[in-house]
Amino acid sequence: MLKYLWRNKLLILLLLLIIAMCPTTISLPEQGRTESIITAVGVDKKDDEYEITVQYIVPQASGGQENLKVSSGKGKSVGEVFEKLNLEIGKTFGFAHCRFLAFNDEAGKENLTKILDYLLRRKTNTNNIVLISTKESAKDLLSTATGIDSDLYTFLSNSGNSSELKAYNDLTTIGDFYKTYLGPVNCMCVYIVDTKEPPSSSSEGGSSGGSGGSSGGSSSGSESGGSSSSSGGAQKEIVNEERMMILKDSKILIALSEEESNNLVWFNGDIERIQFEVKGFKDERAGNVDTMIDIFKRRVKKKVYFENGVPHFKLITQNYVRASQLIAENLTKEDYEVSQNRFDDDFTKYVKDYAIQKVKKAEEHFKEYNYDVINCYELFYKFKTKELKEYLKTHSKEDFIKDVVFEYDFEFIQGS
Amino acid sequence: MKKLITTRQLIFILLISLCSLKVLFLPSLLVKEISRDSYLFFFIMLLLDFLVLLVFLLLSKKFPELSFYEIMQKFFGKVIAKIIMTLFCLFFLTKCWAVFQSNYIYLNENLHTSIQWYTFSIPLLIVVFYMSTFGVNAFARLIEIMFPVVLMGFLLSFFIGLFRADFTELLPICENGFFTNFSTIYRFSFWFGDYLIFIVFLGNIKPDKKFNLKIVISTLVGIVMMTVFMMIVFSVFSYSTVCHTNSISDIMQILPSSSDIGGFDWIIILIWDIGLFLYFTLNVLGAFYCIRQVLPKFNQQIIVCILLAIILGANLFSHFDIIHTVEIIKQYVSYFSIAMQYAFPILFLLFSFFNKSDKNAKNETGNFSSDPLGDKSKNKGEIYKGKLQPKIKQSDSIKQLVNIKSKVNSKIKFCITSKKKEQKC
Amino acid sequence: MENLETRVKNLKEELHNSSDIIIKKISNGKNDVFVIFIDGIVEQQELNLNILAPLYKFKSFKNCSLEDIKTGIVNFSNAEIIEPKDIQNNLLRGYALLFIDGDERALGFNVIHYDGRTVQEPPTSAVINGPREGFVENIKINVSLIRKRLVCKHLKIEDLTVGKRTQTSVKLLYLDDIADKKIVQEVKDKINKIDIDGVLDSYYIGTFLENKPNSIFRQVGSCEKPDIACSKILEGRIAIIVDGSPIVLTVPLIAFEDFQSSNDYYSEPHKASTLRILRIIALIMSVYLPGMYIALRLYHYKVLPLKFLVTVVNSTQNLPFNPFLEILFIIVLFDVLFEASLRMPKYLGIAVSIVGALILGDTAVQAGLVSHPGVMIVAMSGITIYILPNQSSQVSLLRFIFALVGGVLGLHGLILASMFLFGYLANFDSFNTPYLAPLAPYISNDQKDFIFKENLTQMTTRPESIPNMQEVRMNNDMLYKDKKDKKDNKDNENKTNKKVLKQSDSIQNKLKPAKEKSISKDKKLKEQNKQNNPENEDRKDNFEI
Repeated sequence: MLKYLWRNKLLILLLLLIIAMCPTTISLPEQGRTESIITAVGVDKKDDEYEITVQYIVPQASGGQENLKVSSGKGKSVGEVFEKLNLEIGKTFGFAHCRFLAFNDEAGKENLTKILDYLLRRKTNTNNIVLISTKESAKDLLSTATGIDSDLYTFLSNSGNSSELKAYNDLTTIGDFYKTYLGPVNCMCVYIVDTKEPPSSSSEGGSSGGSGGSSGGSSSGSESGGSSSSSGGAQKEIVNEERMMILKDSKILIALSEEESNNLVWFNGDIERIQFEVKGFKDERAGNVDTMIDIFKRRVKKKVYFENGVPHFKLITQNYVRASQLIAENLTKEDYEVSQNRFDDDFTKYVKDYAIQKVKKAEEHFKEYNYDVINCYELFYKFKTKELKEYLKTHSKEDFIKDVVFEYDFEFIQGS
Repeated sequence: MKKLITTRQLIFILLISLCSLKVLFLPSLLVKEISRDSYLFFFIMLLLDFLVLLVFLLLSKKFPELSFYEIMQKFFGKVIAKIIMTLFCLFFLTKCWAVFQSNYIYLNENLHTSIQWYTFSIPLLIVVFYMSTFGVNAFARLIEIMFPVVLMGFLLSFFIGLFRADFTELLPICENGFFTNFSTIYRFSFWFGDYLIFIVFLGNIKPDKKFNLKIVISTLVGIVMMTVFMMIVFSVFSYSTVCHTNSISDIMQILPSSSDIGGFDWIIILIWDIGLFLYFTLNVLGAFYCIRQVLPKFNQQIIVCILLAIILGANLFSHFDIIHTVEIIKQYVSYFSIAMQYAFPILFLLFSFFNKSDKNAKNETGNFSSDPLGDKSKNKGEIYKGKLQPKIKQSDSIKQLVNIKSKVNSKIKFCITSKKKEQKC
Repeated sequence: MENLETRVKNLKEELHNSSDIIIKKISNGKNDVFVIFIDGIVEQQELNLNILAPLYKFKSFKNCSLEDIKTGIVNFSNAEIIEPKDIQNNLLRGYALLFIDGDERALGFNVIHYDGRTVQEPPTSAVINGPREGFVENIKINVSLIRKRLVCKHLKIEDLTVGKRTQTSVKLLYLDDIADKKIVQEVKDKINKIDIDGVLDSYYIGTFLENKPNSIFRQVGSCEKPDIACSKILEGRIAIIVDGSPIVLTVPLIAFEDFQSSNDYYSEPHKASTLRILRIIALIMSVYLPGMYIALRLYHYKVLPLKFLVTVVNSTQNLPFNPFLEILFIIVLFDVLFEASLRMPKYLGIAVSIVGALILGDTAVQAGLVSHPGVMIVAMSGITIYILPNQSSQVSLLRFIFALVGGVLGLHGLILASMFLFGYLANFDSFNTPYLAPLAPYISNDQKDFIFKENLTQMTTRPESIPNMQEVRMNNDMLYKDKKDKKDNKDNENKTNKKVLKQSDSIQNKLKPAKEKSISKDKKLKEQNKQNNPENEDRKDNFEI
């Protein structure tokens, strides 16, 4: 035996190694047991105190995916609360599977880096955690989403987080946050997901449906409207209207209404599908029928240039459209015939004006509140560096977006 | 003389050494220094490396039968050759030191929640020890097997990054002027100059047809790929590098662990680990090769043990602390590495012009160099050759046959075409 | 000279008066002859009819020499004169020996007959297409099975005898003009050096042929079917047939041989390629799966996707062991079950395996000793082991080692272990053949029969990885020539007679050089062969059946 071993010196070394390491390994509990697998973090601020809620997986022998548990604690700083929670749960935190971080309005009004810095310094890469803003309490939100199959998680995984980084109407992760925070613009938006008391009756909430020119995200169009958590015990339900919260200098600036959020979509080159309703178009053929328009393919070009020392931003889009639904009291035979060839010159012009009107609303809004969520400044910085430097000698960077002249060149092409 | 390495293996070795060390923590160090324009620096340094490679290719063309040590002897005499070999050994050791440490930190931060230094290093050193007793030939074959895997890892990270990258992030180019950026950057040259590993294989290469062309093209493609990869890397984390306090290993940052595929894309990290291992072993072999020429009478296994102990010791000395190491490299090692990487090749180039190439003259020491790694590899050197040796006579006749065949073929073709022409006429 | 009777008696005494030694005395007047044989290993009928009967009928043995008896009296062709020193051995081998007075030598009749299996399909290498014959324990039949397929004067069969007490006959078979001389000599030297008391199976010989006998990897190939053996001989390998063993050894061996099933060559190439990829995946799974699972659960849980993680966490909660012990426990359990079901009587074996796998596994899970994923992982790796039956012993050992390493060092350890494994294999050789060829070193010419198998018509050369003396194995010109003819003929049909005449002339002109070419090529190959084996032409094959 010994001779045999001596011939295979490597075997000896391996054996020694394994013998030496085995006791450690055997006594080593598996990681999943010593670390609680965190799926979401909620940060609330009330009365100068942070309340942090963590949602983590509790194994259940019966299987099933709804085994998320919520714990929370309070303290002066984020790190302190996490330490407390560590002690309370009896396990360290593993953030590798953390999906999102929700913060309430009050926490958002402070600099968000105060919250995020703790997470950033974890060994695990936390850059992919999605930021979500909520109005009242993140704790409620976390205790409402009780399973990793719940609607909120599905929404987060469907929306994806791999497109343009400081994107609007796209999920903003911690990585994106820092990129914007340290970049030239420092303005971004995060989704608002709220909770609300369930209606007493079982009827549908008013927010659902396609009223008011609703638009969908890149792939989550069906998700718009209220959606309730499936858990029977929860008192509240999740409201996800795909509204957005604007953060500037990493603080909450303003929460956009659903319509305002949708208006911003036109600036986003990544979004390929937009649905909107055209109302009030009258002509001889179609009478009074309103039309739902579906843009199923878009090409977006952004052009920046200086003209007479004034910065110009030109948004050029090519939209391939079709009528997706006719809305009227009674649809007559003529209406159907017209709908086959809806996009005649007049109607196209009307649609174009309608769209530009929406974009202009968005423009007015961000000029009014001075948020450059469309990365206008960055475009100038990248492509017109010299001119921008000249320009900044006389103008302030802060109000840059207010002085930019916006031009729109929209083209609508009928397709099927 | 036995030729150990095929052209294909050499190309793989060069490509592995091109990409392994540089993807780890160099990008974030560079970004902190010169921000977005780092890829330009990368490109310039890689081109410089390429020039160095050309020098070695020239040497190998001029002295195809001589090993590096023999060439040095020819140029400078025995004593200086030994000194040069010692310097090169030191150079490879510094590389080993850096890659060992960065590999440790890479694993410790990304893959393992915590890994003790001994858990990491002892098995690694054992395997490397055995690798070096197997010999260069076995190692070259290992690279041949593993290269596709590493390439796959590279391409996966390349494409995952490419879909996420926005190259406009790299604009504007050289905002503060070109030269202001690059005044202090030479200190990062330590992370380059990996083609010096070529010296191990000088005189031991079994050249293909178009050997030089193949090497040049493949390295140029590698350089372009690497530059584009670095463009992706820098475009993805151009501004956010400042917050990489922990995760210095930056390859991590460009891989989004999207929820759909879970963390399985982290397996790519694992593949990089293979690349690092190969790179580390390669440099240990390099150091071993150099020191063997200086101390030819020593027991080789003991030499390898000592080298590995030195590497481990250096790492323990620097506490496996990368920030500490980087400081040392920037302040002291960088000058040494610049001298090794650029001054020496220029010297070699000059001397090679003054020396006549003698392809037939063969030093007695040649036996020794043909087989840089020990008795065991001596037998193994034949493995591939063994196939050819028994039929040397045969192969000659086959060659003749092939020649005749090709001539006959061409004649036939000629006949046919001329016949056709005649018919047409 | 001593009396014939005492001589015969002494012979029997030397063999310790074994009861099965039968001595027949045939006395015709003064001169007796003795026939000695061992009961049970001779063919009785033949002995009686063709040897004993004529002897009894013969009148007088006076002045008869052994040669006379051999040529004149008996009715048996397979007889030879045996020198005194070989008498014992030949008797023990099953010869019937005839002794006459006044001659020290004996006349041996080869009436050897052992009872054995008939040729049938071997159980471990069953095929869907292709021949089903398998080797048996009888060396004569085995040689004849190969001889039947290789009707070629270059097939050389060399006889060796190994084993002091077993006197096992070993035959080397190779094609004289293809197999590498150096390797043949090496094999012969190694076998001749064997000094062992007994050889009961070809494995004994195989062990002596290995360069690194302590390695867990096979260095000598084996096959159970004559068609596989022939194909290997045709590629330049040497087959070693050992009497009493249905396993024929082949050298040199490359690692990829085990991925090539004989079925691959009897079915479409793309199907074969798919299967080969499948085998590689199976191999990777069987080696890495348990180690990977342990490593992921112990050290790298964050790599698992969330939903999968939840499933795993749910099913592993409340387990008493950590994953490392759990998997080791299941591996050991499964291996024991496998071993037991192999050894048990057939009908009992089935019961044991079903009880073991289903009930024991399930109850262990329900009792909370092991988890569902754990059982599944080990079962999966256990099944995939047997997709490469030749490699199963190594793979199951490797699986265990990788599980240990994965448990102790995590994924880093797995990487190091695989680096070592591949480095070790790359450094390995079996008779001057790189073990991992044609992958490392990369041999482009051999890729056509590597992972992606090409059509048979494309395999014009022998694998370069196996040292051989004749690269070209197929003349592909005929194939293309036929095509060319057909094509030309089709064109011609539509044209006028004159044109046809002209064209046919031109075709002939075209074909002439091609024919010349092929002829000259053949000539050259012949010359080449002559150069290599000048005796070849006149040599009589060592053929003894």
